[in-house]
Amino acid sequence: MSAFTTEDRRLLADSINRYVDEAYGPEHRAAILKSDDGFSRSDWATYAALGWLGIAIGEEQGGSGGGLAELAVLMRAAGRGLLMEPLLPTLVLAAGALSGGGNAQQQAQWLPAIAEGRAILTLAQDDAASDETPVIASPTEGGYRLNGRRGFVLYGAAADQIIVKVELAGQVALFLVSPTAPGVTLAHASTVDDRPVSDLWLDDVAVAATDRLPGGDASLLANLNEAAALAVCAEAVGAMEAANRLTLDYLKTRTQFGSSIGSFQVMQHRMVDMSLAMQEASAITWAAIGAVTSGNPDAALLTAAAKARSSAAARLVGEQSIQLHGGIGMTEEYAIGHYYRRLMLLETLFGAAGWHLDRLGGWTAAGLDGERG
Amino acid sequence: MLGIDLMRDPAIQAFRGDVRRFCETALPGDIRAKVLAGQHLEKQDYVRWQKILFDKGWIVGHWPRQYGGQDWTPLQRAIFDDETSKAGAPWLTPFGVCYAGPVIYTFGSPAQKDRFLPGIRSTDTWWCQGYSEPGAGSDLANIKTRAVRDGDHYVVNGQKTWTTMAQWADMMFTLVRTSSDGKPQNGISFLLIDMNSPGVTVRPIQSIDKCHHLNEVFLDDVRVPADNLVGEEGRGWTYAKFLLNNERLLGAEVGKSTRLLQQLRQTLLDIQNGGQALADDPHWRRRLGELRARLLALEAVCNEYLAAAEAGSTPGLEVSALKIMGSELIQGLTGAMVDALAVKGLVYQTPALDAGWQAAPVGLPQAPGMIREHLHDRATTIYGGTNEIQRNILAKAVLGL
Repeated sequence: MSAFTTEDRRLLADSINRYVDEAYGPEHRAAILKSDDGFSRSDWATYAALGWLGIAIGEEQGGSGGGLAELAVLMRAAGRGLLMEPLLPTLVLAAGALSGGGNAQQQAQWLPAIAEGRAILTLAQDDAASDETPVIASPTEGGYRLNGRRGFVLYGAAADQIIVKVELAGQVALFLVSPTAPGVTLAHASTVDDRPVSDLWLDDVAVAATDRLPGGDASLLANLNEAAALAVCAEAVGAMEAANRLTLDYLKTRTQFGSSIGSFQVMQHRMVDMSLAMQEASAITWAAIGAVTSGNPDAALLTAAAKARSSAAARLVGEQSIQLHGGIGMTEEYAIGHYYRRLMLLETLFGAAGWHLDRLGGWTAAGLDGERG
Repeated sequence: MLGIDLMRDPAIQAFRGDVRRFCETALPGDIRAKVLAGQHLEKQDYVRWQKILFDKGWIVGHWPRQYGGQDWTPLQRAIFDDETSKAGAPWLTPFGVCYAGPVIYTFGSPAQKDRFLPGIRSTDTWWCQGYSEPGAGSDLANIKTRAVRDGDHYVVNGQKTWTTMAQWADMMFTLVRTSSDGKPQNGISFLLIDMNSPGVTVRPIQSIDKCHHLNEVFLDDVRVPADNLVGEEGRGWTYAKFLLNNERLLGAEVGKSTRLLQQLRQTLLDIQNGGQALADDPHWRRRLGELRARLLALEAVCNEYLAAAEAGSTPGLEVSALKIMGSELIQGLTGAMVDALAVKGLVYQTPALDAGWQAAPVGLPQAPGMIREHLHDRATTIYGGTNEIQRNILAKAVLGL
């Protein structure tokens, strides 16, 4: 049970949104985009000081004992402000894996470090929904050797530790791997929304048995990916709210043919559809998060629906935000294109719409029936 | 409280269980079978079910206790609507219990309450709605039907149209023009007209589903007692808007879509193509998934509004969202059914829509009901304010455009 009340979450949202408005403006963000890291370590330290990084970490590990609902509040604000910091990989994925699957020693070593902003961790699993190129773990004396490749390691360049999904005797296992260990190679690039991402090669990388997360099995990973899908939905909702707000303001101020373009019915109806799509995505996302956190048997069903509808909404809002802005929407200088590219990423991450729709359409697929039968 | 948590509240679940169990035992099997097969319902079918609800005390559950209701909250009412729809109950004809009744007990005189409310509750009086006219559809304030005061009567002349079930109606609540001064909205009054009055002529309109539920109603020198004016002269527009406000939270028709989705799923399991069920076809799997996701999302949106209403807030114009999403989902579902039927969905054997029809079916036996539903539901984006009007409302009232 979360230590947070509804009121706590509202205050949390207010404080993050205020930070985004006051301290994370376009110029600040532009400077971050030009930096070598691609995100801001000073902002990261501030997030730690404000308690956000430990929001879903247990109180005994220096966190405040929240869960997915609190992370979602944070991710929504991250979407709204297009934050560049590694919230998703570190807080949702790595801290989630450690909290759910790590042993006491691993938790004590890394969770307080994450909460205090001293460590950035990420998870290497390719994508939850895509075909994999497996990393194979072969037992050695006292440990394992890892061989293989993982794509799309978010913030791999900044990671102090990478939790790698491997195949061990045909089963899923998770290992903590240091990026500086012999045999580890990272190739760095940027995502479409300007965030650091890497491909990871593991060539006979030696890991100790104690580097394995004892609870890091397929079911943990599945839960983690469901949570991450909802965190991504929440971020998309935040980004859509902001993109819709910008677009609506533009419709009210831009004048053509002697009138504000928002006076034209075709623009009004398009804007209504963007607003409805966002509203729908928001409602189903929060319903799914509520279901996950309260153990509702419909949680998996609602999560699939949430990601499917959020992805569809992200596509509509992203594309039409540019369209309604016209030429100015195409410029790198203006914010709307940045929202578009963030939404592109979120749309596909942790299962694009089609992947979740296939799960929903299977109907009898295990875990998706819930109470509805 | 979040809508999703509210739905799991024990008291709410208990109420849902009560309605579900009641429908299981009290809904007559022949009526249920007609509804699920998409067959024609007779007036007597509606009346029989509504009297069962009346005896249970649920027909006007959403009315205040002093008028014979149960003081249901919007959430309880939505659950009732949801469960009865899923169970295959007939459409609860709203003209009396949802429209005329609340306007009369809110704005009517004590004499009007005594005279009209009992018949509405028991469905001994059948009501219809006289709003639209040939020149006043989306632009409803443009109505031309005139009511001119003559002593203690109004003399009414004009034409109403799209009047659902007027052929069965005893009474019609009507928007009439009592003045042409000022804004068009200001000269409208809310008048109750006895359908048996001299000068009232009902002419059927057959719709594209080959059915007769719509009518034109001609009013020629109809003398209506002035006692039948509800509230004040010239305030009819306000009363009509009040009435719409009451209904907006049910605009999504989640229960109906839930039933249609189950029906679509069954159809996809039943229909074979190239040796496999359509349900196993990747295209259909994804399409079914999409409709299911839309339904779950619509339910989540509704639950948010219902949770807000439960917390005491009054729904505003933003609830137009529910009408848009709900009607477009219904059309998505019936469209998918017709697509799944493919060429079998082109045989529209209308005699099969009559209960008890015995001849051999041509094509699929379940096809006519689905085609009827599909054809009928093209109206969902038109009635109750077209979806274009709903988008205009949202653009103006919510987005400030």
